[in-house]
Amino acid sequence: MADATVDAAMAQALIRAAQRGDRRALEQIVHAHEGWVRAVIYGTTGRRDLVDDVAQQVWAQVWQRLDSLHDPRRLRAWLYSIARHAALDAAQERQRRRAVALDAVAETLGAQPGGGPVGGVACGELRETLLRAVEALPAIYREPFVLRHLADWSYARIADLLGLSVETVETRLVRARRLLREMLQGKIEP
Amino acid sequence: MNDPTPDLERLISRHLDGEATPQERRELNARLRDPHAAALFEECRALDREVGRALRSALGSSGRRRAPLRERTARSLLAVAAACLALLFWFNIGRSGGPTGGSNSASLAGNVSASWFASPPTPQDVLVERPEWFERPQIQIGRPEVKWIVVPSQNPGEWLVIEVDRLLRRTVPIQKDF
Repeated sequence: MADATVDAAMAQALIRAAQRGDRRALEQIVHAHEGWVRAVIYGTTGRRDLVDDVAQQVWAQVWQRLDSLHDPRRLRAWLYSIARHAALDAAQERQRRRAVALDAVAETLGAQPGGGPVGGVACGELRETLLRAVEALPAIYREPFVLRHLADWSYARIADLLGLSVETVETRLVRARRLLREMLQGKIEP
Repeated sequence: MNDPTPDLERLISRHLDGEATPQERRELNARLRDPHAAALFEECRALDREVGRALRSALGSSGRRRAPLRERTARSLLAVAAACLALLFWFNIGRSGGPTGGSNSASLAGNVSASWFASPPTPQDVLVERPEWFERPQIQIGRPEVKWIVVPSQNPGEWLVIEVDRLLRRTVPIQKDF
């Protein structure tokens, strides 16, 4: 308990220092949180190709808006909110651009948009299949599942971040596993 | 009759996530005597293992940062202090209760040979039974990756570059039997 108090006090001091413009403090904050921030971005969008770009945007926003964090104890919730919004915006933007690009291709070729297997390159590797299955999960199941597996967080910590009850997190993880089992039936050997 | 699967799934999920209480673990063990339950457990465990590996391999986990110089110096000093304390403790025991003198020598004599510096008894080799869940040997390969997070500073044209270590872990089964 004493350790937790000391940790919390140190984290608060770090944030205060970063708010005063201390770059080393920001560096330490990035190192402490970038792992789970990436997990949130992937969990929200289900897209690996967006993770690095969105993470850059998130940390740039954090540095710019750090003054607006009045209660340093809320750092995690604050970071989560920034990461989630940035991830959703990036996913929407990418989808919009993709739709425009597909329309242009369809016009050029005289084909109907969405008529064929666009970008559906078959990939035999198990890893790719597994990742696609995770990415196909509904976001509400994917988010806790990715945080559990990438950040190795407990139910309580995930619940705290996502603003859910521990029971809801537990239920979503059970359902995520059930859906993955259904999607990957026969592809994994026990 | 109710379908017992959802409850079993919940138990398995809690166990895999390290959240099961000792009582839940006992309950799960008891239920795994049923072959259907055992099959479901194995399926979930394999799925968790493989998906976890795939995620860590694709997205990586944060690598360990090298501690700052001041921290490393402090750690080294602590280690030296601990070694000194251990030596002091050693000599103190040697004087008061070593094998050549002191009241504790009799009780120690049974376990310890006449000299403090004699090598400890060599343990016998034990043949370990191959467990039922034996898997083909695997090696884990970690590919460290350095990424940079670039944050624009308040001053125009100035950037703050933060180096982030990441470890992409991949597990490779050893295919050949020796």
